Amino acid sequence: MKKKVISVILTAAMTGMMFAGCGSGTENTGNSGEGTASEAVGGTESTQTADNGASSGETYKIGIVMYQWTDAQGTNIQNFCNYLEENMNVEFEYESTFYDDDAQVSCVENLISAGCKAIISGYDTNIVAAMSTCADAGVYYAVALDHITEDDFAGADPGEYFLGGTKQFGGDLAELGKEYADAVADAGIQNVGGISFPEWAFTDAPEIYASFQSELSAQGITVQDLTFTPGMTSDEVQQAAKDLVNQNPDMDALFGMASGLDYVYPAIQGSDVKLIAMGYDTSVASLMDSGALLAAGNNNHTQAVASCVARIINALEGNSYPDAASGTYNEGSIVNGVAGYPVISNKEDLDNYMNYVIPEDGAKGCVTVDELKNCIISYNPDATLADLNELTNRSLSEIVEARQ
Amino acid sequence: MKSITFIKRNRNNLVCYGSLALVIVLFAIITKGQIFSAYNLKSLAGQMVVLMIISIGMIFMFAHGTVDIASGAVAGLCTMIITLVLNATGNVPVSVLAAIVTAVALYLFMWFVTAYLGLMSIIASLAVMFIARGLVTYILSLNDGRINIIHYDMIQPLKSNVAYALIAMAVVAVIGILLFNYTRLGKYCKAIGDNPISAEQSGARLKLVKFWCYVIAGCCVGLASLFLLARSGNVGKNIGSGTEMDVMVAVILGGMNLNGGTKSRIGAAIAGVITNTLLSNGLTIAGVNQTYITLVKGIIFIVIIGMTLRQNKSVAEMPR
Repeated sequence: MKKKVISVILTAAMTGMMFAGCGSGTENTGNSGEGTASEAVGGTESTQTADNGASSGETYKIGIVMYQWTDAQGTNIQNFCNYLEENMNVEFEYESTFYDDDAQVSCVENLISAGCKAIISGYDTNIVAAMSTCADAGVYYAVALDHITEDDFAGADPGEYFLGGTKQFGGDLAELGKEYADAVADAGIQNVGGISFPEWAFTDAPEIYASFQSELSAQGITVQDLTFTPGMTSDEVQQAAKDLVNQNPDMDALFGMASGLDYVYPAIQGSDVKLIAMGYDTSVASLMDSGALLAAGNNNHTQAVASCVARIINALEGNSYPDAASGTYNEGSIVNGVAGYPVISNKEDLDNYMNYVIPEDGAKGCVTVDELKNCIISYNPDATLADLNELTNRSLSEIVEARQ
Repeated sequence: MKSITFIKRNRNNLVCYGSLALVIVLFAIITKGQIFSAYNLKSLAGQMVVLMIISIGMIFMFAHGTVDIASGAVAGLCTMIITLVLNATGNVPVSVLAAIVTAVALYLFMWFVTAYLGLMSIIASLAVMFIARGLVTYILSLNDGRINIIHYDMIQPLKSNVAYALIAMAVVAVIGILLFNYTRLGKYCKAIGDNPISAEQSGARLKLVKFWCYVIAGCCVGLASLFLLARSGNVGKNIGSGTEMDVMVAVILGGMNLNGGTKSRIGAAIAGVITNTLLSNGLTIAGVNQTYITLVKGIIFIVIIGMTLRQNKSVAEMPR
């Protein structure tokens, strides 16, 4: 009986503790977003508020949610964020979840509880629920690894706290396909196939491949039609890649658009088929040395995060780019930034990529603090969205030129 | 002397709730009270609701010795059912009912396979997990990988207004406690977990008791999927994935022995879910580096498990 009494008392205590959180819907941890509500993301106003972080020295806490933090992408982003923390009035808090929409909302809530005034998400999934969570708390939200369209909100109004997404692949899919094609043509390949995740999962794949195919066909190289995998798992990709190679014995290269290094390469490892990979990891150097890899490439995560940080600081300071409504990468009323996609096709590219795109020391990287500040209105009243897009869409050669 | 006897008798309860209290105090200190902010308490309730409702249902399964690993996949399928029905009818109660019927049907399929075909319960739940996950993936592939809720505004209050989550948790917890502690069903359920032969000889109809346990679990999963959908905002291929493991971690943290038996308690679900949610929430608010969070959670998990599930040799147990 005593056991039951204890259980009931303690359960009641826990329930009471939970009910303590049942307050008014507008309370939060102090991130009420005061002074920021006038920010119209798609508007054309450029008003500078008195409480300006750049001049007041206030530190802005920004949360970032990514798939994980221990891979090359996570490490690169953290290195850049550490660099920004040391040189700007920003502080970062990190969360991770692996494609789990409910967990994504929990991450957003935890970051808001931790005092973040804005959140950068790697995902475009679950944007409606995540966005409403942020809007309820007066916290800004930007998407770093995908561009956002009005369709993503299924007709709902994104609201003033949504700061847009980030167009990947340098915003030019055809140009990316051409860059990859150049890498293949230079290697003397005569017959190429391509494999991608299902079209619904990688909607940009057909356009990239069409350009790749067109460019190579014009040079007399045989290019197979793009094959879509039936699903997203490693096994499904590997099986589809093996089937494709078996059905085309003359094929001497495969464009792996479905996580090329992690998923596609194991299927052709040991064969004479060369890999052209969308993706980058630490194996690139050795695979290129051995001749198994003709080209690799990756989203420039530093540029993506830099684009989001600039837009966030502007919003937190009540500023808006004068050309925000007419941005090159906008989708209707949604403002999008942009980030480049360096293609690595030789040793020099690889060295440049490692030295200037993913360096441990952010000061040597593709976006320096001074360059970023120049695109933030409180530091440069003449800054425009076009300036920011130009900064975060520099090619590998342009980055090298800027650093040397 | 009396107090020592009391502590010995209630060791599991004390350690279970003591661990929870310890986690609360620990994070209150580390986060300088930030976990008690109104916003965070509301967030915690929202983060707990899905896990709490499913965990309470799972106690009925674990208590009689069944291991279920399909709850996440079934919840994911139910979110899809709710979305499809809601998009077609605009009627929330009908869509929730459809989800509950779906979940109960899948759980009864597990029951049938286990009770009449003699397969292990984990095999049956594995099959249901694949069926549910496969259906979600297939239907999503026909809909560009994601299904949006046309009438999201009708269920969004379940996410934005924490009162719904609190009421749902309280109602399910009270019903669970009443059924588990004060009815023949609950008592037979625990008895079967300890020794099915003895339980049967004592009058428990094994198949019937298990039938109702599966029905309760299905109802809980179906209901929880409504809150899962409200939080997720749409249906993607990974919706609900990992929930089954979260449930197991939570109930183990609450002191539940997955072998079931007389020591099974609904309180394990309640305390475990709160502890589990607080761990993730508190570590983030405390600013613990993401690289170490899993490690820290693992260490805390082991410590709590060590205290709650260590076999007490002085307590005589029924032969199995």
